[in-house]
Amino acid sequence: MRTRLRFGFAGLLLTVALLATACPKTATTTPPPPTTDKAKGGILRLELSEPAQLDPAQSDDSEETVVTRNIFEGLVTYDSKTAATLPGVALKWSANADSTVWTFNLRKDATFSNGEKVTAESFIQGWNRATAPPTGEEDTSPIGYHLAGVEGYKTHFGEGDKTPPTVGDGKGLSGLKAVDPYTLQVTLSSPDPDFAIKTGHTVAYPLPSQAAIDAQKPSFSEFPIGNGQFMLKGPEPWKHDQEIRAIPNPTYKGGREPSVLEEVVWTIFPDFDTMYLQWVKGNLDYIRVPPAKTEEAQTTYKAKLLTVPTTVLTYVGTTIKKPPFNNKKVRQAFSMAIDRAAIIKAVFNDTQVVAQGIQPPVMPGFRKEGPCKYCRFDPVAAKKLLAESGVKLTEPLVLAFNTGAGHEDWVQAVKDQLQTNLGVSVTLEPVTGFSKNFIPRLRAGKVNGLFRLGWGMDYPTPQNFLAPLFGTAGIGHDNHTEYSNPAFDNLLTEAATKPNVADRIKLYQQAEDLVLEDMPIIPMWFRISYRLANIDKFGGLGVDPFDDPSIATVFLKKTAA
Amino acid sequence: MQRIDPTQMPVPVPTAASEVSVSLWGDVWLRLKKNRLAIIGLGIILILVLTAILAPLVAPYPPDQQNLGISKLSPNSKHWFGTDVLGRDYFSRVVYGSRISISIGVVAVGITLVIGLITGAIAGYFGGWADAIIMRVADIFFAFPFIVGVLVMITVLGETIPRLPLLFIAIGLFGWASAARIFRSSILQVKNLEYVEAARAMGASHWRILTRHVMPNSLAPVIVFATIATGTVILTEAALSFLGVGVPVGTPAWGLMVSEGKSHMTTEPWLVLFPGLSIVATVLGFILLGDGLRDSMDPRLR
Amino acid sequence: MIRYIVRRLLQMIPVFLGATFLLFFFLYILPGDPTEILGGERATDPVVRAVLREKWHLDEPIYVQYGIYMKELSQGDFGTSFRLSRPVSRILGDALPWSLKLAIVAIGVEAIFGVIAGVISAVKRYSFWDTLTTIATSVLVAIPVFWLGLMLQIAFGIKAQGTPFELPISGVQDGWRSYVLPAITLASVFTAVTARLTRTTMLEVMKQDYIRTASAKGLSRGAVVYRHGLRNALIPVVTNIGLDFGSLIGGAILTESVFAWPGVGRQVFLAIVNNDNPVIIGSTIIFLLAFILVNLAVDISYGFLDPRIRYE
Repeated sequence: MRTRLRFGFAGLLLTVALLATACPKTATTTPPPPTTDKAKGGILRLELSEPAQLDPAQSDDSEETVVTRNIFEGLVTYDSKTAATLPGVALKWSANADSTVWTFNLRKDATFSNGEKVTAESFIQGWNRATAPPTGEEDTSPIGYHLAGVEGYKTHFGEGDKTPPTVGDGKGLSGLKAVDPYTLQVTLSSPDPDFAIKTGHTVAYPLPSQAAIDAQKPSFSEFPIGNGQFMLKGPEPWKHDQEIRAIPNPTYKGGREPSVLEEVVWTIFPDFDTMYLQWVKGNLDYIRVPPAKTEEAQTTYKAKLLTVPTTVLTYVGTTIKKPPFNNKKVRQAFSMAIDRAAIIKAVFNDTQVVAQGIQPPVMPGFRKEGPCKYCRFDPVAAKKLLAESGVKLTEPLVLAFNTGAGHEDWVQAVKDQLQTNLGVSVTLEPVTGFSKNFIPRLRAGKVNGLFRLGWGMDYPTPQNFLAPLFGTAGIGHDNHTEYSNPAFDNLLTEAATKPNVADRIKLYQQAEDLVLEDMPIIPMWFRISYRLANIDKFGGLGVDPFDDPSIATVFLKKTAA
Repeated sequence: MQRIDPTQMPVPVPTAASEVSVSLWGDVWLRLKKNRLAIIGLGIILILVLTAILAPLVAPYPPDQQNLGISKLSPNSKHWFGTDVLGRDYFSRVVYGSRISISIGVVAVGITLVIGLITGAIAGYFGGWADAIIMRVADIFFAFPFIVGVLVMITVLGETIPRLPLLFIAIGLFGWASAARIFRSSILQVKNLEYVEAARAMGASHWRILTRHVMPNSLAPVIVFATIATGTVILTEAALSFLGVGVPVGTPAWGLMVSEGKSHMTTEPWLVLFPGLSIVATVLGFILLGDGLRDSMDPRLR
Repeated sequence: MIRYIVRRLLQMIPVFLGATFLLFFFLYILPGDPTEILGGERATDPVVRAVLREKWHLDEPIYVQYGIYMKELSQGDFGTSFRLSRPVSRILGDALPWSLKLAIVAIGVEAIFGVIAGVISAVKRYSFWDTLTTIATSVLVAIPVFWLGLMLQIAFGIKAQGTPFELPISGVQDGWRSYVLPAITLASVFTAVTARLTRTTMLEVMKQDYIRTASAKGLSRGAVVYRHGLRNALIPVVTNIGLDFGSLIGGAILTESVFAWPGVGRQVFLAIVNNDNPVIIGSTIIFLLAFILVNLAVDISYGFLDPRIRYE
């Protein structure tokens, strides 16, 4: 998932259990730990930045998914600690021999918080809505492309069709079928052994009936009705710029244990500093630590500190279609001219770890030796590469980044290092508004040079860090460098035909090596998540695979009650 | 400018008996000298201007010189104001910041004055339709919330015009209505005075009357306005930088430095303290001087 | 009198239309294609862009777009936000009451402290108190509002923790106590200006003949100052405070940011930097209306207070 990197996504310890569950076999659950020290009740106070809306089909931002992940539950869920894929609404699933047809068997007792039952039709309704083209009334979903593998996606998209499509024209995803009310069959247009893992993504949540959606006051996107562990606390759960409140859903039946908390409150803050002050005053139970406060967290609040590696990668993309970055050696030179470790120490207080490859440290297939040879800081080699490229850099280059997300300091450092180590002049180009401004500008080709972006895990498979960013099919979505390499694409396609995870990983690694040699992007660092939490008062507090508080397992401790 | 509107504070013009002459301004200066606060203000401003002009001599390091290894040092003998996150010498940055403040002050207020004086003079002197139209347009600019107008202008024109000049223009542009209003009311008072009538009777052209008699005598309130407005402009730049839409990233400017230092306030307070104090001291200087000028130009307080 | 009011109203209409059209013009004519933003992920698809252009009337000439907007406006429809996909009237409707409440409290602070300080300063001219007030007000004006807010947060929110002086530092959930720090911050500059203005006008008034007459008549100092002097001095002060109200609603961006106050200022700021035209226009209209109405009220009160105008 693309991140703003102010509040981002991440992953946690992905273990072999994950690898096992990625196979197209029936999954098993591990029994939850004994709950003898749990007390009922407790109000968990969290912090958040004002989301744009809470409609799961529109949520591509961590501020939104933090909430929607607890209000909804998809076919599968992810274990809060290990990110293993577990049953959600689907009790079991299986695929045919070449992983093109998937069958999900749903539980019969799952309901939405308004009483409607969750059926195969609920998923079909949700997925169609998420992939629908624009209409007069509804906005298009920015994340619908995650379901692009489902048959019927292209025609529904309206490509090549000159007449604007209309809503309700019956042209849903043709690959979706409700064999019976509790059996969902999905036909893909190409093999994908990881497909089941992807169905836990917010884009694939089930939705209640259209009538229920329309009837929601003030609107569905402000007060969604879901089937998750929690439900928003009506009648006005979301007071804009103030707070969002949720309570456990009494009718919840799904892949998790029902919550015993009384209430969850997200207080909304416009910036980190004000939020941190509230922590100091004791008004919050679990917060993200602002990078500037890392030292204080490590000393004053040592007993409450949680640090967790995440999957959030910061990278600098290059415009490989235009000079000078159409020359591979130039890209490699730039990468070697940057002293990542020094920036991490000075600017980030060591809350990041140098990226030595594309895959995050917690992803299966991660190679500790660091496959990226151009990610090492070596100004001498950098100068040599630049000279070898034969490119003369006469005009200043641009480094574009989105404002308001704390990037101002490190981009200045990078600019300085490129100047000092390569003699290259870089102009910083701040752009306000990430998805509404920065991304459209990238897509329109208005950025000439370097641009800062982030990426975090959508679902726990290495393919998630490869195909969207570097695959030809990703162009127009998240492949902002527009890198297109048939050899790379072929490796991924081949991997999709391998039912054995270890075989797939080998091919993913080869694909990663291709990218690390071509360097369309310059990987910078992976974030370490620093959190402060009242672990003396609440148990089960941790960071889930997406760098969110794992509310699913939180309980009030008996000693604190 | 912000709502410090000196139109609300009566600033009388020279009375009928006096014309602009060396003795009047000399008189103003004499009175000003006795006002202790005003002299302090003047002193602050002089220090500011000197620092800005002599910045390369005063600053021990280049303000952009990064050194990640000495990031966030507290004030010591080698770095009097410490260093910032990127290891840049903070004292040097504060010194160079005076340049931004001075230039914003001078250029933005300059733009305001040029537009304001011309329109105010036309409206005040010629009256009638010109007056009505100009004042209606001024009303539009008054009605527009200042920050909103400046922000819209910056974001909308941000592509076509480089940020720093755009900042000067946007801030300067939205203040002309205040200047015009003050100048106009000043002119209204002056134009009916006897010496002006005398000049008219002698057959002087409008242009001559306007430039040689009316305008110079109406300048007193505008001078006060300009002084205080310079202070407010500096505050506006600080506010815009705080919001992230002011001077470009990396510029040594006090407002931006406060904004950048905000998250480090409890652990590295010097990052906020020194630029913040510089802003306060500088703006204070202009306010005190402006107050002093107003008092010294008020004939009734003799 | 009625003629006066009507005439002022009529004068305001072109101002309103002029300001809104200017804004419209600025936002729509200049480079930047809103469909890029509205299309989001799909923006590269020309079919999607065509549908959006149709929906938002983007291909019509500017005056047609303006006309459509005004027509919808008269029906209470402020359009839909580009960024949040919610009706602008709801976004502003949620935020405006908070801005109003804060502005009212801030005006109260400004009026009470400003006037009192100014009166005492004038009555005890050149005394220690007077000099103190002059310096204090000058300093207050010179302090950036956001800095003041941050200092207050640290002082009363953190350092005062556990003492009876502790105050809430952000948000609106603590009842009346949430208002204290934001209102003080917001009112700081205005209070300083009011104090200075009060001082000046009081000094003016005290020199007038009728004051000397009252004094000569043998009235006590108190009666002279307060019954005769203050009432007359307050006229320009009160009108200034009234005009400040209009500014306070639109200008609270900094305070709202520092104290996480859910008001209009913050919405406008986010709208501007995110090119959310409907919200920018909608909120500017609200500011304009507030400003115009307040000015009108002030003008009308002038009409009542100044008999010369009444008989025009």
